[in-house]
Amino acid sequence: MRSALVVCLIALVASAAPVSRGLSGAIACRAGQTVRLVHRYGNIFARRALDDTLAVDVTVRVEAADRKRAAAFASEVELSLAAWADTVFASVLYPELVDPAPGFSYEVDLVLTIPDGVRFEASNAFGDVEVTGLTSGSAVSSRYGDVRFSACHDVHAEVSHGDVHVVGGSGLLGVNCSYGNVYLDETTDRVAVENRYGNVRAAKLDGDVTISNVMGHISADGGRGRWCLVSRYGEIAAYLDDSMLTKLDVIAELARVRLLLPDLLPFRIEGRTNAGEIGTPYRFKKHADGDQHRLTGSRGRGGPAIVFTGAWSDFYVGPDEGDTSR
Amino acid sequence: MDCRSVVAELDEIRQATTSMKALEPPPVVWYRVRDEVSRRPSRPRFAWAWAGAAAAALLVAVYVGSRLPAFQVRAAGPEALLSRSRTAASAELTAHYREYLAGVDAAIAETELALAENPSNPRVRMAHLEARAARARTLNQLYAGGD
Repeated sequence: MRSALVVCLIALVASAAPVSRGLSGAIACRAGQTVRLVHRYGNIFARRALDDTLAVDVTVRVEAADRKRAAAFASEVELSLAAWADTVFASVLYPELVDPAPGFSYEVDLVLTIPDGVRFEASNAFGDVEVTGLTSGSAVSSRYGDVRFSACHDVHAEVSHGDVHVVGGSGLLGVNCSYGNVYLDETTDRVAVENRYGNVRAAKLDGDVTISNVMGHISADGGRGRWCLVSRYGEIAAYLDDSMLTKLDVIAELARVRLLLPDLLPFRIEGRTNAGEIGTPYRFKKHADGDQHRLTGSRGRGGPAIVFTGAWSDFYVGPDEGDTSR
Repeated sequence: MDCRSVVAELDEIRQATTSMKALEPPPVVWYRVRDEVSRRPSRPRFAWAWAGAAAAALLVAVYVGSRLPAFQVRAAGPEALLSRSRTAASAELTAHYREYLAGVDAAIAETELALAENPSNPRVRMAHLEARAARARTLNQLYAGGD
């Protein structure tokens, strides 16, 4: 009796085990073309190819109580690669699924190698997108997954409910993020981030940088070039430790702003806030006129020119020492 | 749907809520405003009143179904910011909360459709639960006046 139960249990577990299947495809690409991928369930990995061929490796995973049904579904998944003018379209074709039973689940992971000179565009719904080393432009939109760019040139991310990570990028970086967080590290040239409800953390960016947030926080650590930080209702914390930062504009509404400066950094500062306060341990000129408070001052020669403007916002300008929240 | 499945779903929502990432804009605003109120009782009271008014307006918008004009939400330039009236700023705050909830509602609808074609996909289920949890949490905060 017991052995029969064990056999039944094993059979049950075996029948519910996921079915996995691999398939692949390739198509020749030339510089100037665009690879466009539309995907829905599963992760996408894109990296640089060593030749002129777009190669796609696909892993299909299907899970169902009925293993035969899972295997049948997996066997009918197809990869489609088609060139049309300057665009190569890549997509995954699924069999028609009528009345999927509870417990039925499928995902398809894609690994693409993209030739040099070919632009990559992808949209995904339920899965992450990771792009590494592509230098001819990439644009990724994602609904419910994270997006990661590493060592890429000219990238744009449009993300609704996932996070965005960018490391070591160059060229134009555009991020439009709604409910997720944005993390930028060591990215150069021109950066434009628009976020709404998540936080933005930027470290060691160099170039023309604009970060705008609505309800999340902005944290900027280090940085060179010209920066503009805009917050509607979140906090801004900027740690300025590089004299190669030339200009910092801060605009805040119903926000709290901390501008933290190491002792050796020269800078000039000018700011005003309506219906807010300005706090600083430095002996700068402070002036109050009704609800409006102003501050002007400088230290040393050179360094960044800092300009802040706020409404119903408090500002603190001071040394970085003892800031445990960093 | 029987009671057990409702309880199971609520448990999943509770678990999803505790494991969610830092995605809590309403407390960010309200907690700060509350801090301000305790620190500086004279001026920020109007800001607290703003948040309350925004919450009340938003609840009316959500439950009565009124279609308030869509605000173009953009960062104001410095001069525009300094000259902005409290009424306009309060209206924009309300619009932001309404947009937040509208986005969450859209996510709930979108993930329900996805669940119909891929019912046990863990990503879809998690996205659905997170969206429902975000909606419940936000409405709770609005009802509680920010607490």
